[in-house]
Amino acid sequence: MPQSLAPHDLFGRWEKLQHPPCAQRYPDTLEFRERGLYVGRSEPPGTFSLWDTGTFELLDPQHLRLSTANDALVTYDVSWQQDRLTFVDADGCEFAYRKMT
Amino acid sequence: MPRTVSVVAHGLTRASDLMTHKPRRVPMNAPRADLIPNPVGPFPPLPQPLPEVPIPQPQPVPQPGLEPLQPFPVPFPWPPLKFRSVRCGCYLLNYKPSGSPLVTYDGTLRVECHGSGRTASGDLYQRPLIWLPWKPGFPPIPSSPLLLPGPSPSAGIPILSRGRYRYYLRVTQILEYFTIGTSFTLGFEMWRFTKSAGAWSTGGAWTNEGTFTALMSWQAAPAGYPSSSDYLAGDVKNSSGTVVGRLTMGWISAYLRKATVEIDRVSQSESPLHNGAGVDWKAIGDGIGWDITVDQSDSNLVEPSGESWSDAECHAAMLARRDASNLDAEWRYHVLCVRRLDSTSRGIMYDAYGGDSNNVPREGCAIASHWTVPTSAEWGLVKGVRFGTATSPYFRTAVHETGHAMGLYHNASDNGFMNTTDVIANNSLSPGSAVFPNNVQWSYHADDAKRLRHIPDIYVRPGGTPFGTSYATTPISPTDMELSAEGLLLTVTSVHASAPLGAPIRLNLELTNTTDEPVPAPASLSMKSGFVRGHVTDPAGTVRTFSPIILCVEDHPMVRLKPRQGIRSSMTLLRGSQGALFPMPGAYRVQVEVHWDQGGVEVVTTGSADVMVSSASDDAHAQAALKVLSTPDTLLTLVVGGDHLVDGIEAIHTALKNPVLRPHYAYIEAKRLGERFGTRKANLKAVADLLDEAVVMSPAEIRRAAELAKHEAGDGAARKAIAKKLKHKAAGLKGDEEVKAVVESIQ
Repeated sequence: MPQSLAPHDLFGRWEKLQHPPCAQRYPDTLEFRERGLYVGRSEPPGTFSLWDTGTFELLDPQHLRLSTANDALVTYDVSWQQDRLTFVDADGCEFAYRKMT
Repeated sequence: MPRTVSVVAHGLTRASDLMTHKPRRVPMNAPRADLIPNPVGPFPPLPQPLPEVPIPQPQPVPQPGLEPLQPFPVPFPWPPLKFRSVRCGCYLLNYKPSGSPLVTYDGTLRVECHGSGRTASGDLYQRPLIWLPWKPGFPPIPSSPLLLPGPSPSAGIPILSRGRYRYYLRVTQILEYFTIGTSFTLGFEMWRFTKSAGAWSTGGAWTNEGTFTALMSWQAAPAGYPSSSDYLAGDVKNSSGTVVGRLTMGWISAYLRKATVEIDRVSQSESPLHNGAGVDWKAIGDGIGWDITVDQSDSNLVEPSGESWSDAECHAAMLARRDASNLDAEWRYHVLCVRRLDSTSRGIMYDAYGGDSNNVPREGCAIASHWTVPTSAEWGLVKGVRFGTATSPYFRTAVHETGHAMGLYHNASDNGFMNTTDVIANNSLSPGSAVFPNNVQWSYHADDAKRLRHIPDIYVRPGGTPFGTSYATTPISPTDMELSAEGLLLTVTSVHASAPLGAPIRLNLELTNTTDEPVPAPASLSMKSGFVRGHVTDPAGTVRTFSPIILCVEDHPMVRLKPRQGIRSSMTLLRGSQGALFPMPGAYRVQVEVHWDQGGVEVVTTGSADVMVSSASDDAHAQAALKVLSTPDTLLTLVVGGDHLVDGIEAIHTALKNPVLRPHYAYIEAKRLGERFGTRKANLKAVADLLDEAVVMSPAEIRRAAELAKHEAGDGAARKAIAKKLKHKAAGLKGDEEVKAVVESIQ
C-alpha cells in the first residue's frame, strides 16, 4: 500500500534500483535538497542524465515535477513505499530509487 | 648552491614577455650592479606572434675564489637567435594521406594559449570530389574525378559540411612555449567519427585510429594566409614510424571558432543583448575564443496560439523566420524571445533531441520575457520583476540556453553560465555571497569553456550530435600531460582571511605526504623553486594566473618525503601576467599548483584557499590602492627589492602613508631597507621602526627578517628591537619551529 509522500520525505540521497533500459537516461543517484533543489549523478562522470541539476516540486503526493537537462519542467507520477520511490514518466517507463540517507 | 639563475617574467615565459617590459630605473653606479637581477615585467601580455628577439648568452662559470658572477646584465649575441612559438588561434589544417591522391582532408586546428602553455585540438572534413562532365564536341574522355579546391585561407575560419566530418584530432603534444629551432613535434590521436544511419538525431560513434606524430617545420605561407610566418608543414608518421601522410597548418584567425546568434522575438519581448554591465555576446564569445556575431532579426513574430508557446510552436517559428538555415555553411544558433513558454518559466533548449521536428538537433532555444520573478529572498534585487526587464539574469538565461544548443549540460560547480538560475539564486543566500543577480559568474566553468574550445566540431556545432551525447565518450584533447600526485596533500591557507583592497595576499603552503611510504616531492615550495604556480578566480569569475618572477633552479630540487612529513613555505601574491590579481572587493579563490617532472611526466598536486578582499574604507585608501594595483613595478619591487625601481618604490610609499595599507606593505619596505643596495648600507633601525605590532607577515617573512637582522653587522640596538618584535610575532605560529628557531638565534 503506497504511503503518502511529503516534501521532507524526499530530502536526502537516493540510488537507482535495477531498472529497465528506458530508464537509462535517469541518473544513478539523486539528491533532493532543501529549497526545492536536486542534483543527479551518473557514472562514469560525463554520462548524460536527463535529471542533472535543477528544481523539484511535489505537486501532490502522486506527482513530482522536476526541471530537466534542457530546462523543461516535467511532471512524473510517483509513489512511495517504505524507502522506495517509484517514478513513471510520460512514456510509461517505470523505475525506482531507494533512500540512502 | 644554485645551478642556474634565470629571470622569468611573472606569469609569463614567452620571449616576448621577457623583452618588452622596461621598468623605469635610476642609474646604477654601484659596484654590485651586476648582482641585481634584471627586473623584467609582464605587463600586459603581448600580441602574437612572438617577435624574433635575441636571447642571453650562457652564463659564465664561476671561478674559484671569486665572487660568483650573476647572469645580468649580459651582452646579446650576434647575429640574434630567433624564438618561435605556436601562435594562438585557429589554423587552416590540411591532411593528405599517402598513396591516396583523391583523398584529402581540410579542417581547423585550434591552439589555445594559457598559463600552462598550449592546448590544441583539430577537426578534419573530407574534401569532396567532382567528376568532370563530358562536353559535346570534345573527344570523349574517361570519367575523371577531380578534387575541389580547399577552403580559402583568406576567408578566415572555414565552415565545412557536417556530412563530410571525419576526424577529431586529439592533440597530445605541441610546443608549449617557444623554441629557438625551426620545428617542433606535433603529437595527436585521430578519432574517426562514424555517423549512425539516418538523421543527425541518431548520433554517431568514435573510433581511435591510433597515435601519430608530425615534425612540423615553419615555412613561408602560400598566398592568401594572413600571416606569412605562421605556417607549418610536416610528414605524419604512425606509431611504427612510417610516413602516412602530409600535414599543413596555417594561421588564419585569433579566434578558435565562429558562430552567429540570431535573435527573433515577439514585439513585447526584449532582446537579450547584454547584461547591463558591459558583457555582451561578443564578450561571451571572446571569453571562449569564439567569434560570435549577433543577428538581430525579426522583432514582430506572431504568437500562434496565445502568449505561451509550446516547443513545437517555437520550432516552427524558427524554421519559418530564421534568416539563414544552412548549418553546413554557417554555425547559426537561433534564440527565440517570447512572452511565455509552456514547458518552463525562463528558458528552454526546446530543440534538444532532434526528434521534435526536422530531426536536426540543437538549432535553437527560447526564453520567456514575461515570467515574473518570485518574491522570495533568494531572488535578491530582481524580486517581483518581469524577467525581460531584469537585464542581467534575462541575458544570462539566453547565454545558458545557447550553451545547451552548443551541447553543454548543467554544471553546478560554480555560478557560471551552465548552472541553473534557481541554484545561483539559492547560492546568493550563502554567507558571504553577493545578492542575486550580482552573484552571477559571467563566465563558463573551466570544464565547459574547455569543451567549447576543444570538443569535436560535430559535438558543439548546431545540427551535429544530439543533445544528450555523453561527455564521457566524446574525445577531447588533454589540457596537459599531468598526473595527479596521489598521497601528497597540498594545504593552502591565507595568513589572514581578509585583506583590504590593494594589499598583497599572503598564503601559507604545506605539502604533506599522507601515505605510509616515502614519496618523491619538491624540496622547496618557494615561488623561486620553479615548482609553484597557480591562478586566482575573482568575484566575477575571471581567472588570472601567477607564476614565479624569479626562477632559481636548485641542484637537487627533489627530496623523498617521509611518511606524514610535510614541507612548508609562504607566498605573497599581488600581480600576475594578466595584471592585478585582487583588483576589486569580494571573495577570491586562490588555487596553487605544485608540479614537477617525474620520469618525463609532469606530476601535479593542487590546493586552494578563499580570501576576502574588503572595499576601500575611504578615498585615501582608494587612491593608495589604485596606485599599487596599477603600478606593475610594485610586484617587482616586492620580489627583487633594491632602490632602482622608482615606480614600484613610489607606489609602496604611497601605500605606507595610508593607515589601512601600511601594515601590509611595511615588511616589504623593511626588507628593502634591511638589505644593502649599491653603496647604500642596510638600515636595521628603519627595519625595527617599520616592524610594529600591526605589520602583516607570513612565517617565511618572519624568518627572512630574522635572517636579515642576524647577518647584518652593526646597530646591535636595532637588532635587539627587531628580535623582540619578531619573537612576539613568531610566538603565535603553530608548527613553524624552524622559523621560531631562526628568530631565537638572533643575538
